[in-house]
Order: sequence, then C-alpha cells, then structure tokens
Amino acid sequence: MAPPPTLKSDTAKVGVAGPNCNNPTAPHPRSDTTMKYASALAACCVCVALALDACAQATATPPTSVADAFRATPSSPAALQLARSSTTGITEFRTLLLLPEPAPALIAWAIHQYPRAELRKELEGLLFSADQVAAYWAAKALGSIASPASIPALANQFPEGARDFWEVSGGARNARWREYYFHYVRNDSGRRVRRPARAPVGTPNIRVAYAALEALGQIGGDEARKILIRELGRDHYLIRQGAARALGRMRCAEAEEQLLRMAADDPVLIVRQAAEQAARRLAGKLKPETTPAPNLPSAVVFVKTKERTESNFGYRDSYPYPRLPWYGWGQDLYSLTPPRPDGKLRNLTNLASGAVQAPEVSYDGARILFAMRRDLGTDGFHIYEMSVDGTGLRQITGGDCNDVDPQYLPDGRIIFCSDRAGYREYYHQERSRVLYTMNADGTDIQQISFNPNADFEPIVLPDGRILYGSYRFYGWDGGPSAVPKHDPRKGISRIETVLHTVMPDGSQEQLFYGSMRGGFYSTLRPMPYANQYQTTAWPRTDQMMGVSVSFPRCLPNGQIVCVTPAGLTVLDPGANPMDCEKPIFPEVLNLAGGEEVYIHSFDDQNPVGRYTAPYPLDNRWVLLAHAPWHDLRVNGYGLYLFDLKTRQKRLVYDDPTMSDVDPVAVRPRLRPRIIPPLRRPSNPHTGFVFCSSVFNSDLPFERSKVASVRVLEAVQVGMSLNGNLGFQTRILGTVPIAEDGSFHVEVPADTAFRFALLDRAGQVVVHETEFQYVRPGERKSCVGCHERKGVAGLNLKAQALHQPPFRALRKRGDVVYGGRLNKTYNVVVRE
Amino acid sequence: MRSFIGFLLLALPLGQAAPSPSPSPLPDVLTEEISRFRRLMASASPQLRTEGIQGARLLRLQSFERDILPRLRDDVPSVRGEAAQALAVCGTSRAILPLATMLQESDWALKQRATQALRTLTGQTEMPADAGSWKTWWSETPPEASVQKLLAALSKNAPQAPPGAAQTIRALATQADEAGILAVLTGTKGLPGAQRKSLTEALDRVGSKASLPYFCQRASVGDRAAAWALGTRPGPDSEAALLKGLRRSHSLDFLLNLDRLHSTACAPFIPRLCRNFYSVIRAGFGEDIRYPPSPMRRVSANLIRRTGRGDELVDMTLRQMERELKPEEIPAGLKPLFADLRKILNPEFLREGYSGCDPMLGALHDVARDPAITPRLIALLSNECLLVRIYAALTLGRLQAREGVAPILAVIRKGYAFSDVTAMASAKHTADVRKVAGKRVRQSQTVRWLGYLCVALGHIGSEDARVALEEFARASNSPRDVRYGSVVALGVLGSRKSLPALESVARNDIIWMIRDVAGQTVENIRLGTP
Repeated sequence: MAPPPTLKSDTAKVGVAGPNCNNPTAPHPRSDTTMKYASALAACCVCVALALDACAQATATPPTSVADAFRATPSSPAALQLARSSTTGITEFRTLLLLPEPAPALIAWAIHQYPRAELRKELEGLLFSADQVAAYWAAKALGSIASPASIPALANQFPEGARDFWEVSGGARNARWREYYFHYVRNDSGRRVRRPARAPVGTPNIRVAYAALEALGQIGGDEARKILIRELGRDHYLIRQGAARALGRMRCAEAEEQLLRMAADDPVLIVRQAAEQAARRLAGKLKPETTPAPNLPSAVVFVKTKERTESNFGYRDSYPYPRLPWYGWGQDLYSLTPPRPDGKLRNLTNLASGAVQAPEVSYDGARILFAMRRDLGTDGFHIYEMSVDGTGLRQITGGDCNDVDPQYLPDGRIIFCSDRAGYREYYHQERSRVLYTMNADGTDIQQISFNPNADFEPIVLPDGRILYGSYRFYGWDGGPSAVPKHDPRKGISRIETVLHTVMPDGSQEQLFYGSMRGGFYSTLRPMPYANQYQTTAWPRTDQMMGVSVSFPRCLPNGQIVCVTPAGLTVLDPGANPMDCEKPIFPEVLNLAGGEEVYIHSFDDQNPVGRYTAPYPLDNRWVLLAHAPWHDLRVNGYGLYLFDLKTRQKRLVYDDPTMSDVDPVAVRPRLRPRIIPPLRRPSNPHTGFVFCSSVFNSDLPFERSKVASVRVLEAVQVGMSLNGNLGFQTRILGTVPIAEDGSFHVEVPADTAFRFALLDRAGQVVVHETEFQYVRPGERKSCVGCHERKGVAGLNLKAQALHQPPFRALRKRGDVVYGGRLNKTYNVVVRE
Repeated sequence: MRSFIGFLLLALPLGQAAPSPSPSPLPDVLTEEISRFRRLMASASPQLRTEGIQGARLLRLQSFERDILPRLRDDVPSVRGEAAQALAVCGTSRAILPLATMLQESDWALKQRATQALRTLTGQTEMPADAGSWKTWWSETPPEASVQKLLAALSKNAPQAPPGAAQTIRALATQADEAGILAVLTGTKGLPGAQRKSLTEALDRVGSKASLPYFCQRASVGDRAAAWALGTRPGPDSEAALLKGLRRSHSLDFLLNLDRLHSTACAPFIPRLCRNFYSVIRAGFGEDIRYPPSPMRRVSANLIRRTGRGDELVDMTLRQMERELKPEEIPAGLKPLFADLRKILNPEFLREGYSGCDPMLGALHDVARDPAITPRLIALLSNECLLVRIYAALTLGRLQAREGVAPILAVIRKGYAFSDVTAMASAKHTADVRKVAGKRVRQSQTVRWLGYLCVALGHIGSEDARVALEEFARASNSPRDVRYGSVVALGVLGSRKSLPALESVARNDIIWMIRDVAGQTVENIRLGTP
C-alpha cells in the first residue's frame, strides 16, 4: 500500500485561500481557494485544515527567520507566509525583491494574493524586468492592489505607435539568448529575414502586457478605460483579447459597439469570443457564472512516475534528444477509488523494475488496456490487458519490437503504435512508431499508417475515425533544380506534430488540425499582425514551421482538448482549421505546454504552471496532471479536476514523491460508430490519387508556370549512426498536369510519397513537404493543393479523369538522392 | 618504410606535383556509366532497359540518342514512355519524326509523353497531340531556319525571346550554327542562366576547336555546362580550366569531367575530396550502405588515386588508427582531417554535433586498393573504438579480403552486451557522451553497429559468409541491424542460393523495413543485378 497522499509545501496546490477574490475567473492560485468540492468535501477539509495548520504554525515563527529561510531557498510557502504576516516590513520586502530569480516572482505572486499597497512602486519597478515571470506577477499584484496610481506604469506596457512585444519562446537554454530577440528586417534584396537583435529599450513583454490589461480592468476608472479601448485596436491579437476581457469586467458601455464589431469580425477566435462575452456582459445578458459539479467516475487509473524529467509532458515522445527517449511511461499503474485525496489507492502492476504506459479503459468500464515492460533489463513495451480490479492480466503482443499507446476499437479490435515498421524519424534517426491494428487476442496485426516519421497517441472519435498525433519533419531539399537540392532560398523545412484522422483500415488519412500555414515558426498560428520578437537559437533561416499537438481527447460535444504550444487548448473541429484554437491560458502561448525543446526551452518562465494529459469527464471538466509554476520539479505533477471554462482546479491526488500523470476515468462510455473496412482490391500494391486542380491553392505561386507534378517517395534509411540524416527520396515519376490543373496518378500503396509542382523545364515551382499515402486500391482525391477548407470542387469532370491514371511506381533506375544535399546514390544526374 | 613515406609527404606539401602517378589506368566514372547505360538499354529485360533509359535521361547526353530511338518501338509500353521522356533531353532533329509517329499510339499516357517531348525539342507548345500535324509542320519547317530565327531573337532581347528558344537550339542546331551560338553567348548581355546553359550544351554538341576558348573561359569561372564540354575535349587547357573552376565550384560536374580527362593534378584538392567519402556519422549524409558507392565517392577516389598518393593516404590513416602516426608527419593540408580522426580514437566517441569526424576513415574505405593492408585491418577489428571497427570491416569488404571472413564473423557472433528491444525502448540507437544532470553519461553502449560488419561480409563474398549471413537474416533473435545488414549483404553477394532465405525474410520478418529490402533484393537477384 502506498503512503496516503500528503500535502506538498506548495500551499497553492492544496488551495490555501488568499483574501482577494474579486476575480473569480482569473487564472491565479486563488481559484483553488473557492473549492466547493462537494463529493470530496470531507477529505478536502482535512487537507486544507492540515495545510492551514501548517501555515499557521509557520506564521507563528518570527518573520525574520522565514525571510532568512526564503533568502536561502526561495519557496512558495515561505513567500506566502511573508506576504500574509502583518509583521513583515516593507523594507524586508524591498530587499527580498532584489534577490535573484525566482525570489522576485515568488514575492510578487504572494503579494498578488495578499496585497500590500505600500509595495506598489517596487512592483511597478518590476514590470520591465528581464524576469518575465516576476513582471507578470507584479502586474497581477498591481491589479490586486488596485491603486489608480499604478495606471501610468501599467500604461507603459502599451506605448502608442509601438507594434512589437518581446517574447522568450524557445531556443537554446543559454542565458545569453535571453537578451536577444529575433525580429524581421529587410535585407539588401528586399527579402524579409529574421535577425537576432536586442529588443529596443522599453519594448514590453507580451505576457506582462496581458497581465497589465487585467490589472487595468481591476483598477478601473476613466484613464484605464481609455487605454483599454485604445488597445482594442492593437495589432496583437492577445492584447485585443485581454482588453476586451478587461472592458467587459469594467462594464464599459462606451466600448459596446466596438466589442460587438470585434465579436463579429475579428480574425482570431479567442478575440471574438472575449469580445462577445464582454458585450453580453455589458448588455446584461451574461448570466452569473456557475460551476456545475463534475461528472465524476467511480475510480481513476493513472501512472505514477519518477522517470520523466522533461519540463513538460505535452510532447510525450518523438523528441527525446538529447535525453533518453520515452514512451511517456511510469513505474506502475494505479487506481484511485473514489477519485479524491482520501480515495483508496491500489497498485495494479507492482513492478519491481518495469514500466507502464498509456492506460485506457474499455467501453464497458471493466478492463484496462495498457503498455508494459515487465522488466527494464530484458523487455520492450508490449500490450497488456487486465480487469479494472487488477486481476486477469494477459499479454497481447510480443516480439522484437515496442508496442505502445493502445486503444480499444468499437468493433472489439485494438489499435496501437509500434516501432515494428522499422521507421526512423527524419531528424535524429530515432526509432519511431506508427499505427497498427489487431484482433483482441493479438492476431492479424496490420500496419495502417505509413507516415515515414512517426504517428502516435491514437484515440477513436465518436464517428469511428481514428484521431492521432503525427510527427512531421522534412528538411532542406526544395531547390529549384531538376533534382531538389539544398537551397536556403527555396527550401522549406517542417518540424511539427499535428493531428490527423484515418479510418480504422488506414484509408482516408488526412490532416485534422495543424499548421500547414507557410513559413512561420513556433507560434501556434501566424496571428494576424502579431509581430513578436522571439528568441530562438534555431532555426536561423526563417523557413521552419512548427506546431506541436499532443494528448488529444474528444469532449462529449465533439471538441478536442489537447496540449499545444499554447498549453492546454480546446480545438473546435467544426471551425475553420486556421481559426479553431481556444487556448485555456492564452497569455502563456508558447510556454505553458507542448514540446519541451525549442518552443519550450524556457519553461521556467511559465507563470501559470504545467497542465497536461487531459481526460474529459464532461464538456467542462477534465482530469489532468498539473504542476504549479513555482514547483516544476520532476515529481511536481499531481492529479486535478480542471474546469476548462473557469480554469478552476481541484486536487484529486498528489504523491509528493512522484509525479502522477495520465489519468483515465473508470466507467462505461459510449461505443463509437463501427466503420467497415475498405474492400480488398484486385491489385494489392497500388492506389490512386486524383487532384481536381493544383491551381486551387492558398499557396502563392505562378499558376501559368506549372506543367507537371513530380511524385517523390520517402525512402527509409536502413542503417546509420548519423544524426540529422533525413530520408532518402526516390523520384517515382513525373506526371503531366491537365490544362484545368487536374492530375490523376497511380502510386505505390502503403508508401509515403509527396508531390512537387514543376515547370516545363523541370524546375520546382512548389515544393510540397506533406507526406501522403494510400492503402491498396484506395482512391484519394482532393479539391486542390492547400485549398481553403470547405471549398467544394467545380461540378465538372476534370480533364485528368477522362483518361486512365498516369503511373508513378517504383522502377529500376529511379533517382535516389539525399534529403538534404544534392547527393544521388545510384546515378549521375547532370543538372 | 612508413616513416620514409611520411617523410616524403612531409617534404612534398600538398599541391605540388605527385611523386609518381598511379601506373595503372583507372577507368573514369562517366565512361563506365555511359557504357553501363548502353548495355542496359540493349538488355533483354524491360526493367533493365528502363534503368538504362532513365540513366541516359539523367545524364542528358545527346550521344545517347541513337541508343534510345530504337526503344520508341519497344515491345513494352512503359519502356516506350521512358524513351519518349528521355528523348526530350537527349533528342535532336533525328528524334522528331519517330516521336511524331509515336503520337499514333492508342495509349493516352504514351501520347502525352511523346507530345511533351516534341514540345520541349521544338518549342512548339501549341501544337496538338496529332501525328499528322507534327509531320506536316516538320516537313514545312527547316530546322536551320528555326535555329537562325531563335538565335536572332535571343541576341536581340534574350529575356523576351520565345520560351524554350535555347532548348530548341540545343536540340536542332547543326555545326553551321556554331558561330551564331558563340556570338549570342559572348555578345548578349543579360543572357539568363537557363538559356546560357542550353546554348552552351548546344555548342558542346556542334562546336569545333574554335569554341574551346569559350568553354575554358566559362569553366574557369565555375560554369558547369562548360565543364561538361571540356570533359570531351582533352588537353592541357581543358584540364587547367576545370581545375580553376573546381576552386570555385566543388561540384560533381567538375570532378566528373576532370576524372574523364584522367587528370593527375588534383593533389591540392585532396582534403576537400576526402570529405566526399562515405560517412556513417556525419549529419546530413543520408547515404545508405545498401547502395553501391555513389558517383561522388567513386570520382573522388579516382582523382585521389591518380595523384599517386592514395596508398600513402591509406597508410597514414591506418597508422593514425594504430596510434603510430606522429603529428609532424601529417602534411599541413590534412592536419584538420587527422585531428578529427584523433577524436574518433576516443573509445567513447560516436559523433560530434553536426560535423563528421570521419573523412579519413571514409577515404580509407573508398581509396584503399592494396590487399597488403589486410592484416592491419583485421587487427583493427578488435579496436576499442567503435568507428574504427566499422571502417576496418568495411574496408576489408572493399578489398574482398577473404581472410577477414572468420574474424568478422567472430565479432558479429559475439553480439551486443545489451538487449536490442530494450535498447530501442529506453535509449537512442545512436548516442553521444554527454552530461545529463551534471553527470557524464556514456550512451554509446546501445549503439547498434554489427550490421555494418554483415555488409562487409557481403562484399567479401565467400561461401562461408553467405551461409552465415542467411542464418543471421533468418534468425528472429538476431538484432535488427544484423538482420537488415545481412539482407543487404546477401543482395551484394547476389547468389540465387540465397533466394529461399531472402524470400522467407520478406514474408516473415517482424520489421517492415527488413521485409521491404528483402523483397527488393529477391527481385534484384532474379534480374541478375545488384
């Protein structure tokens, strides 16, 4: 029996109340303090009482000793004690605010909860600190103090005429980079290129400015109102969103018309939503917020782990380097019955030296499917099943491979991921996994996805399709020459994890959500007019695209909750894919969740904490793993209930010695629709692609130049010790494009391929980086290339369909070349 | 002896004339490739004919036209389609009527191929896919007049000339057009690069000695089309221009054509040439062991060997691997490469960032020809450094040293100290030594490298090796890389006796990648080609 859950020293985590509660929806620790956790009230009371008792005892000690302790080891409990204690002098605070990071942030955070108006000036002085977490909490604290005297300092976050905000959003963990920010300049040839530069003095940080908007809304008054109304017209979407929220809170009638206009027309979803909510509030139509009780299951199963050291679990795999690769695993699988701090904890696996991964509960709520290594010294991961009470363990897969991420299919079969394809991802040649299905007894194992990089984390949507994470990387090979070659001007590189859907038989694979938005890097989306200074040590060529999405789960209303570079995010698949994201913590875009590397190297500057592995209980409440911003230790994660609307969180379980992650509800759930498989084709080796017009595209290229489409196969590298190796590419063939822009081609089945549009001279006009594949006999068709979603094709029979398809199949003598350099392996290519 | 060679190298800095050029004439890569494609185009197998036509198309040499034209009447439609595509770049006026005749094909795809080829050759982009129309047009349009007209248009205003004008001239020009083409090339300002390239290629085909100065001048400033023209015009001026151009553009075009001229003067380029060799660790070198040496590697090895320094380079590399080479024995130009090699000799080393530290090991593998080094290579199989073992084995394979079979087999049979599946689950297959949480962690114990030794066995090619490789390939408890390497090696060996084993692997191996390569290998062996 594991020790009972105990409280961490982090008082915010167990919901110790602060006195300032004038903002019930604000994303700060006080939301814990309003816990009305009916189903576990008794247990919580015990916990909170214990915590309060501990704090009270601590408060009883002389403040000087607490201050000394804080100086020696800055901690959140000590900061709260100091802020709460009336004996802590202002002079003391001033000295503490001068300590190195993270002390100023902790003090500002504590003062936000226990406002001390005497510290207003010191807090104002932090607003332009290089420590953006301290600056963020200083702005929040100024909102709590609510002194009109702070308005000029807060207004400095919004200099008139300025367009830019800086943001530390990625790159090497190197202090030097924190002083430099990329911005865009025109080079000698007029091209827009990214250059590192020190942000101009006085450039505000985007996160701090967002908090300042909230503070202005709390302070109120004419001056604040004027600033907020002006900021509704700011280029940066986040500022518009924050201003709209603040004006709604102030009930500023003067802004109503503008808010209504924004609610209808703003190009960014979260701005429209904030404006609409504010306008409704002004019109008195917004009902008082009530928080329904979560639809709690009888139990949860989850994973306890000590091993996962990455700063965030949002990116569960595929980017291990330089650390050991993970399948997002832990030491043992546990159940908690009922799911509350005093629930009965049970170790279901009792492994001495093993690992478990990705638990899932069957549709009838009776069984658990998961991946396990019985012994780290001898076994890889394989799929196992057991009853929810831990009995009846049975092994389903085996062999010289790793099988992970299992899920039940509605027809009784199982979908999972395996590295048995032998694929290696493009960049570091790491072993990677793709999707497989099998019968419940482990027979008839079929590979159903053929992304040459990696596919992972499948879930079944209510309509029976499979939604999964797909890692996409393609490097520099888009030169304008006959054989693509390295050309920094023309090459496009992609690194991202996006969401794809596929039928359970592997057919109709398509993008569900992702970037595909051209040459941007690291922002969740190229927000209109969002010209942020960003620091990143890589790339330097302005050619990267990057979105990383993981942990997708479907809410009952069909929306998808997942972890993106914006952290915990809800996606609306019914909306335009270019505008469907609702980040729960928009102010921490690029910091709160998602991939640790590059985008999230600066996780220590995340002021709201980590939220990951959401599991929906209903449309509002999810179970998730959370670690507060000031406790980002390896074992900092606990299990929480979280309200996606109010950002309220309630502790479910936290073992202070380990991280508790991957919660799954134990209860029956609706079985999705069963989709019958594709009919077996006569030729099991090929499939077909039809495009009604390559001209139907969002991409900018000269339509009149296009003459043909080249079909390129991604060839896996069999054996290499290289890093950054890339795929090999085989040119399968070149197919003429009809005058109406259509083409029709027969391609090898179950083989990753992509297209390039060529001009008459064989030069590349469009270098496509997205891989496709078709199953045997499948006919995949599209309206265009990068066409606007929702656009229907013309009701005309395309010219390419008047004739049999061209063949682009493997032949002897096909050119095989390196993905990055102009290196052919088998033949001389004279350019 | 070794120190004497070292002394010689020390006394002769790189760039000076070689002490004694290699006496045996090395065939050049282009000539070998051209012969290979001609052989393939005449093969009885349609797959091989397709391979030959594709090779000709990629080389874009109009001298292939006579080999390709008969293939327009090939029994196999896909071969006819390939031939039409190839003629678009290899064809001249002789290809027009046969291509027009092909428009009578009933197969729509073949007609499309022929139409595209005709349009490319003639610039007549509006002509319909109709044999009669093309034949009539051709009979009424003397090519000489077309070329003269296009040259005039180009010289007047090149950017405004008809699209594809230069390509048409490339296809239709005759010797009578030499002066006109030269005049456009030398007298037209702002001639676009693509047009200059096509006109230079036209001049290459129809030009006389009078064009040589133009080619030399252009090649010396890095013009790659001119480099190809010089490759067929042997002489000191051509070689000098190519060497000069190589300084500006270290591209395969210059290397191939210097090789074609059998140049012995590439000693100054040895350090750079060494970086073209096979690397198992260099970032971005997506080269896979399953292919024969690439053209870049072959041509680089040829050029080094013709300097007469190949064996010395190999010897120095071996002595460095044996830790017997003194720093003062290394010529200045090679010092950085040997410094890299010293890094590799650290037992914990696997790779360093993006750079490959193994050019000299690649050179050892690709340049070595002397079987006398076999005992030294065998001794290196037990070297403490991983990369040394890999390259020693591969070089034994390159030399087809039968003595290497038993020791290599012994190393493979020893296996790994870790479980393959566990390594895949918990650690990178490639790994560096780096600090994790302040601790120095060596991860290279999970690197899988024995597959390279299997491939080496395939190149050595003994019956013992074949039997062992079949056993490795079929054994489900062999590590993945050993199974994969064995399949590749059996493909190199090319024995029909291996077909049952390979077919079994193609059906049963749990790893898709291994099944796929086994299937391709079976097909290749049946076709009698590697």
